[in-house]
Amino acid sequence: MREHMFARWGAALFALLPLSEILYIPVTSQTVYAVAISSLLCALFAAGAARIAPSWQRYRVLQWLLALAAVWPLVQSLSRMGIFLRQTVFHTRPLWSLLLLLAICTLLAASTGLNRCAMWALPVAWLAGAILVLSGVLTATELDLSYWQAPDASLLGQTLELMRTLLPASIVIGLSLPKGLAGAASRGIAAGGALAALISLRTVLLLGVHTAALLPYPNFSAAGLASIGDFARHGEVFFAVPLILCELGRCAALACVLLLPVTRTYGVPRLRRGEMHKAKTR
Amino acid sequence: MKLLAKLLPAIALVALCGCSREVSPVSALALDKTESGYRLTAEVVRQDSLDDAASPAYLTVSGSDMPDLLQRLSNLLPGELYLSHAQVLLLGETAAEDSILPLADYLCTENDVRLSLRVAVVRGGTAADLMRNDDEVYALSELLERAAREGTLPDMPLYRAAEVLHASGTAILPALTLDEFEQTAPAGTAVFANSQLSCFLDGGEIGGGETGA
Repeated sequence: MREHMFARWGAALFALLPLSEILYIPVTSQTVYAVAISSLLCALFAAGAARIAPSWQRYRVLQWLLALAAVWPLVQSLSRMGIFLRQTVFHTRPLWSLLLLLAICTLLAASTGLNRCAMWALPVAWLAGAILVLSGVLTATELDLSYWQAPDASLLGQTLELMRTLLPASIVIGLSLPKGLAGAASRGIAAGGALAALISLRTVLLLGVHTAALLPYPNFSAAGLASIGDFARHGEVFFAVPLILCELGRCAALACVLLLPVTRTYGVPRLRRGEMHKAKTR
Repeated sequence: MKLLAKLLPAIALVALCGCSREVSPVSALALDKTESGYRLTAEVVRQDSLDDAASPAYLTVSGSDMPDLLQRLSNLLPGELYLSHAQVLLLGETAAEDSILPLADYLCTENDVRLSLRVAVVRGGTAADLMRNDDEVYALSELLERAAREGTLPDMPLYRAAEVLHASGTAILPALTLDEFEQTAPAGTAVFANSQLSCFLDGGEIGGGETGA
């Protein structure tokens, strides 16, 4: 039983992919260019993947291959999110307990199916976008344009590094989409990538290249300098929460792909009895 | 999945109950050099009075470098050392004569320390004495912020100081002193060359106290 995935839901789901990279991107003078280029390339690949998705999903073997391919980006996302939470907030909690908690949240979200994940991606993407814009505006007066640098040779390395994390998830989710969402996929990644590039640019212009290089999570640390007077001095918390939600959305979508071959219900592992009865009587 | 949904609150409780640990917030730090190493004095915010007003308490530890000092300070405190509320780091003149680049790097990478932490050099006395002089919490940070806004002292939070020290090794930091009325007062600008205190912009010599800032 398939539900309908609207184009704006699909676009929001794909916007989560570059948005969830923001917390972990090492920021240099080339990051803004690298994020922009890698997002555009991933948008093209995701659109291509979405275009061939209906024929890909016809074959059981290819579905299993896709599910296996979803394991790596899923594990990568969960592990980096767990490490981030431990290093920044839960210093005393063991890493395994955080990973377990995140895995359970992911499974719970994934159990609702890819459509619902995409539906929830819409408010999450809007929230993350609004917070990123607000964070940028609050620090706008502190920016120093002299830190801006033209592209150089190190751009290629950083672009490839970003592609390594962004591309697998884009292709895997792209290949799991229903028909007619290729445009939405590319629009979503491009929009998320634009925000990620702008926020990385903000970090460089605010902290400078050398200070940004010292920090394990430069975008997160730079967000800590955004405050509204004495209120909300810990701007990084408001910044990180929607981005963690983005990462959870990405994990849930990947988990849906992982479950896809065994569920036959477009990511919904088990239908409720009432729905099952309705499906039989149709 | 229903079982998972039921288990989730219990797991979340187990995983996140560490949040409820008691913390000892530090509002300011003062670093002085001694014959055997460094001395760090921390202004810890206490809110255990009946009227719930915040009052400072001072703790002093000695050690070889900043990580060592913070570890010793952490061992001394009843709760978890909480540096996120620290807004000022005062450096004694002798401490600032050593390269401050490793210190700036360490503070930037220390997760708890805020990048907006203001660093200032204390002229003609120890940093600890100047910090203890005012018994109001956050008075020093307000003074430095106001002076930076008015342009009487350089506006150099930690992240900006680290950037210029890495870029050229040259930086300026605000200087403070105790005036003749034993009040904390701005005392010009401390100039760092090769990450070490070189001179004060009003022509005052290091160790010579204030010369009419």
